[in-house]
Amino acid sequence: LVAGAGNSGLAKTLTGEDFFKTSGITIASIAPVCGALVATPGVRMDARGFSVVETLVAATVVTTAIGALVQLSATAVRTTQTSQAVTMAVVLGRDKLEELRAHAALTASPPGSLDSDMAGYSDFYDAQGRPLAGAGTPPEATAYVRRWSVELLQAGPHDAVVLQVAVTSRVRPASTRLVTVKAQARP
Amino acid sequence: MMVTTITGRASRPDGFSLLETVVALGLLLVVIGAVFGVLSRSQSLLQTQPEAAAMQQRLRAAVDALFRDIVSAERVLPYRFGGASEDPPGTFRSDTITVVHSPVAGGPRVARTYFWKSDEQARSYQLVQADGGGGDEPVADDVVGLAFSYFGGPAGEPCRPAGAMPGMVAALAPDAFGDGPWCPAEDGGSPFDADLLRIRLVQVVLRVHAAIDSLRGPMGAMFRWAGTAPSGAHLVPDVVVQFKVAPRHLNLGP
Repeated sequence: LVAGAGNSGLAKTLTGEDFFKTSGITIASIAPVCGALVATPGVRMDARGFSVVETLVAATVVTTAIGALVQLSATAVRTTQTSQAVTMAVVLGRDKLEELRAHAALTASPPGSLDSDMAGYSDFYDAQGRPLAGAGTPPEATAYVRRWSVELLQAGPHDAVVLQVAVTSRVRPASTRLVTVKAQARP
Repeated sequence: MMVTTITGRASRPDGFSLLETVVALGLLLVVIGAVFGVLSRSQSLLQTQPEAAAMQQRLRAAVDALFRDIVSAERVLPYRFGGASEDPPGTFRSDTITVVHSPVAGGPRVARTYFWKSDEQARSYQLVQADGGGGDEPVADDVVGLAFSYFGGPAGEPCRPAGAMPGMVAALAPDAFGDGPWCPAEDGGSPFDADLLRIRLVQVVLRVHAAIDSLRGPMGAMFRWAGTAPSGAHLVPDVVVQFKVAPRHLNLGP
């Protein structure tokens, strides 16, 4: 009995007389355990089937579980999109950093150029990384805002500059901030 | 009539009433309906999500490889250079770039070419790299678009080595790279157009599409190549990325 009815799918078989005939188990031999038919330890099988309340509870549990799975896929979709935005932000940030490094003589940027869209220290890009026109004010289609700053190093203002680039996505919670120090020849 | 079964519990041998059956059926319908509704949506999600992630991986691999090599270039050529299938000097291919650089400072120069390889018959579109005389090696699959364009400063004295990036850079017309004057290559290779030394920025546009045909719709702005997706299905549109690279060696200041 224990081996043959290891899962609830066989519960129905247990109530049929055939089972007892074929299994060679007499009703008397199992009568003591039949108050609640115990197939495997801890699994209770009720010959009456399920009540409406039980069914409802089961349905609710199943629905909740499926709901959680759906949430999981929704999260996966969002995460993929965010990760794409982070990639794009890093690509744009890296571009600017290399471009800043390429200029021979850099002058210091006004303070706060990383915190607001200043003309000459910010530009705007659409979702595919195409530059958008607009000096200081982001156009409608802006997906990424890129700002940068140039600071002369405190220790020796003529020796090196600190370059920072910050890229923020406007549609996804993605941003990046890249910093580098570039040696600069004394004028 | 109530009978007592072997379990000692009461049960009704006359089965369920009509009301019970209707309620049970109703519940079953609602639950099955909900399950199927969720299943059909999650099925398309399960198909599109891995593909969207894979596309992004391919894109990142391609962008990283291109960025890494272009940023370290000592010279860029808009054609295939080195090896048996070398293009003649003066060629311009918008989907090909060769970067020449020395992996070891002062050491021998090597050329690596990136190009777009498309095979319409096999529906294979790849970003491929080739090192000098070596064979072609694919970098990323399902790359359906690759375009390089070049930005630089005004023409100076021909064949002078690169200097720092000028304040303003402008797009360089492809014609300028094939009309001379010609500069000799340091290591005795084919000569190259002097205007190639004006390049300070390389712009790359890369397009990747979904590898699975059933996730692509009709050809258009969203899809470079049509897929087989039925209308209303979940689609994974092509991803386009545009970026610029300022090669360090081409922008060495005074």
